[in-house]
Amino acid sequence: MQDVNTSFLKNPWLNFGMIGAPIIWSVHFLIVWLLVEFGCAVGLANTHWFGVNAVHATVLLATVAAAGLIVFSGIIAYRRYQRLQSLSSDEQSRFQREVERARFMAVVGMAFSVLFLVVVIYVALPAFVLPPCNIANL
Amino acid sequence: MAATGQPVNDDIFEYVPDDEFDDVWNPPPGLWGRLITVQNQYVGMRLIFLSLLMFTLAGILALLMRLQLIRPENNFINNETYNELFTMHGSTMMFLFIVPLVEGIATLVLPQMFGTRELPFPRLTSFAFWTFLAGGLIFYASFFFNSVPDGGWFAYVPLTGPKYSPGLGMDYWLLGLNVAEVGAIAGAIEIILSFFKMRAPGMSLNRIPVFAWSMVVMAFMLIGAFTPLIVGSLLLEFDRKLGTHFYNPEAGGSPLLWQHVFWIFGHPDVYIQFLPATGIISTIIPVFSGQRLVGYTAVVLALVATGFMSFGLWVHHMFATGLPELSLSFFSAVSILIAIPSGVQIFAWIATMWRGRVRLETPMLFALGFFFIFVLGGITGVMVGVAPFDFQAHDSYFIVAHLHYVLFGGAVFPIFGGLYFWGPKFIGKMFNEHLGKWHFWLLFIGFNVTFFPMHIVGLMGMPRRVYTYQAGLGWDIFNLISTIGVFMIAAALLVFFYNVYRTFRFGEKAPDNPWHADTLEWGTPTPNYQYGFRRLPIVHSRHPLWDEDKSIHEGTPEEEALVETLALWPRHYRAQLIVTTLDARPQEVVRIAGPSVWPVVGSVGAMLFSFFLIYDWVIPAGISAVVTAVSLILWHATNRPDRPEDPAKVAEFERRTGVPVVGPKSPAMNRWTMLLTLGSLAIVVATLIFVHLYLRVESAQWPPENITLPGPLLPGYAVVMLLAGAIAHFWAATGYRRGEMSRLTTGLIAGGVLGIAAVALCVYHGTQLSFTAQTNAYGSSFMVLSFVVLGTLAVGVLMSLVTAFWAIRSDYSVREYDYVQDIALYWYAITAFGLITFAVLYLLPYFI
Repeated sequence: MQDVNTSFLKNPWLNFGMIGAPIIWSVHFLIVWLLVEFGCAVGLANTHWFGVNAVHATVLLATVAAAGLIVFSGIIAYRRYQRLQSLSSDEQSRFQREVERARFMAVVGMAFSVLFLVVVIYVALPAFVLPPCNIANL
Repeated sequence: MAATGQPVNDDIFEYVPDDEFDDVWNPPPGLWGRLITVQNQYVGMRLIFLSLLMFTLAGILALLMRLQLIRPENNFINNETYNELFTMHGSTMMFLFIVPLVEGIATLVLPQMFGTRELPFPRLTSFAFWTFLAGGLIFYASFFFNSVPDGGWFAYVPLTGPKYSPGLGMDYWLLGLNVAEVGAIAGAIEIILSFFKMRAPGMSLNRIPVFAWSMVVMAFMLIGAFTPLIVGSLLLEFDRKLGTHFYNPEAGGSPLLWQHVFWIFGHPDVYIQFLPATGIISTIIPVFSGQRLVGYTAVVLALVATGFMSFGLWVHHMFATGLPELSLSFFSAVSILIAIPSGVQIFAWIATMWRGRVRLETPMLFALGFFFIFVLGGITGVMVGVAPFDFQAHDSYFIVAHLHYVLFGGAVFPIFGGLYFWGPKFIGKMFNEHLGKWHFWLLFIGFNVTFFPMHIVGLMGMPRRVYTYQAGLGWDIFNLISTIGVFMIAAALLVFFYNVYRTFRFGEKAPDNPWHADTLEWGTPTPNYQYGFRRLPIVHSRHPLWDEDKSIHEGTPEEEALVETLALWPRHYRAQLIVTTLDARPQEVVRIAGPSVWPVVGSVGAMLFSFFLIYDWVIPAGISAVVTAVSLILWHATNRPDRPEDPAKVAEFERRTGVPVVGPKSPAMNRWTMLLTLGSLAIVVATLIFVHLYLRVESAQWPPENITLPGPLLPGYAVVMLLAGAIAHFWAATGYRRGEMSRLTTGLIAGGVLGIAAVALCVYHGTQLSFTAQTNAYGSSFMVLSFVVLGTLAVGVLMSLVTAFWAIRSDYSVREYDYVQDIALYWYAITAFGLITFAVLYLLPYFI
């Protein structure tokens, strides 16, 4: 294993590519929820920035940032996957265990990115149609 | 196929027969030996039987409730008793049945499924069992002391607060269940460490069985969900016993805060119970279809995704409490989307059966029963995830039907399937197939007869948790049918218990692999050795017993040399292999702990501590706490081998295998354990910060009237000292890595002294404040958050100074001080906690 650089089979970027999307979604979810709860509590409901309600604007900004990061993690996973596919058959068999495992991580990472991109956007969609601080009445 | 195989003889590492291995791994003889055993197979069985006992107790309570509801205006049970029954039933099922049962199955099965010998910390496993038992005993002792909890399994305040529940019932609930929850977390830590670090060589991340994936996701969720619940429960107990005001609206507290903290636990808990069950299904279906699981990667992805998303649903239990529509819609969206990963698993199972040839033996019947019931429960779950429908169905029998379809169908059926599946391997005898089928059909029909009518009666308007109802509302016939169904369920369970009894007593001897299964636990002889695999297998695929042509012990020359040598030596203690996290390359050989009475003593101490606190007997409670603390110290101090190994053999082993023998102090395990500890502490601090911020959001004025905002100067100095302490620890850790022991000692002492100064400064600052924890909710959350952060700092100081003391005395070899790097990690984390807490308590009020 000494003569071939196999560091790409095991480095933090591969981990980020695999598990980054759900972590980003978790942070995004917490942030948008707290933004609404806090925003409504401190009176942001009546504040507007460039004609957009401040609560809505912060939710949308957080969503754009989260979506961007998730796409980024998906790209990282995809590029790792491509790199693995481009290995020679000799390298594939020499590092079979590592290659199979890294491919598994990359595939999971790509799928997570797609799934959680959908989830992030779907969660934020109501911000386009609902007023920020109306209390749900039975 | 070769099972454990016979190790070859060797010039240096003399061959010993299996009997000698048994002496090291089996429990000591006699009743005492059985008491102090920590072996995973014993503890796993005990957890399973304890959970089944709890299930039976809770089932009897349900039977009594259904008898009361068999006809309108019945007076079999009065309203107070009915409240007690549904509280005990729900709480037992949620806290004392499924969680310990799935942890029991994991404890029993995982080491052998991973192709290894034991879980990483057997004494912690034992502690998990004894604390579960202790928690259950306290909880059910409430019947004997006439203080049965009656506030529901959700314990909503203000009903359960000091004003409306002045009796001791809720104290039994809070303190008893907290003890059991500690056991749950202990079990979860074992599962996580085992999953990542204790697998057979070659079992890389993509070759780990799906059952293990489901268990590790469950274990992470358990730590993430139970920790906030323990914190929230303690805060409620503080309200009841110490006069704090977290949930008291008259002093700035919030009853809704409890609902948030409870459901942050409560909804993931549904998946904590469901995901291991899906892992069982993903194990049973391929075996009984003779077909590899279709979509392994997709199923793993679904498990992990469900684990994450389940933490974004909790507010759907609070749709009717009057929240902002927008935040409510966030939770509604996730409640609907979580059906995607569940659907992925369902389709993977259908495809597996489709491509295979299904054998309808008892475990498979339970898997199919799960399908039918869980899909119905999932559909009604999506329905109640939609807020307008939930407004209509909330608190009605529709919800009772839904949750039983999800939990009984989604968890209990697969668990029974799992017991029939793995039972023969670990009991050593086959269950009676005929009785198994009777059990299934009675349970399946009885379940649907009981719970399906509840959908209808719920939509007709029958509220849940009522002890009786008027005649003429159209509910009578449905309630009668439900009660008849419960008797069928009871009959099913009687058949099951008879089958268990019959199997133990008269069952046929089980073959090594009666189901022709694919995973490694079936690669050992039946009945199993306590050490699982003497000669470890080497894994090349996800289905080792289906795919290996010759022997499961063949691999690279290095790995073969390792498993051969490890089968011979070390043999005076319980040796276990640690592997790298991703690729399962051999990393270390560690010595794991043997039998000990101290986990038992520690659990008894915890039980008595909680019990005495219920009655405000402070001195006995203090003594019990000391007993627990001392037993924890002795638990570690007594973890020594009977005789030391020959250093020449250690050197030869390391030369031959390239794997270091590290004794009980494994650097890899220390790092993981520290990370898990810090993760749990972070959740505690995050929960308390959430509590503080939530109370701020609910308050019109912050800090409340008559309270001056505390000045940031003194705590600011303390934070600077904390930062300096972290730098000192960084210096110590880097010094250790360079082999400079003097730097290690100086850095630890400097960091410890700075920590003491920071604590002293904060304590002095606390005496100058104009409020206490009893003043109002602001004071309560301010003080408790500060106290917890200072407590973590005090622990850090203790670790650093004790280690510095040992280093000065040269008590251990240099290699054994590797854990100083973990102490440094701890200091970085508590410095972060300190900084964030300082910002929240002292700076944030200037902005919001």
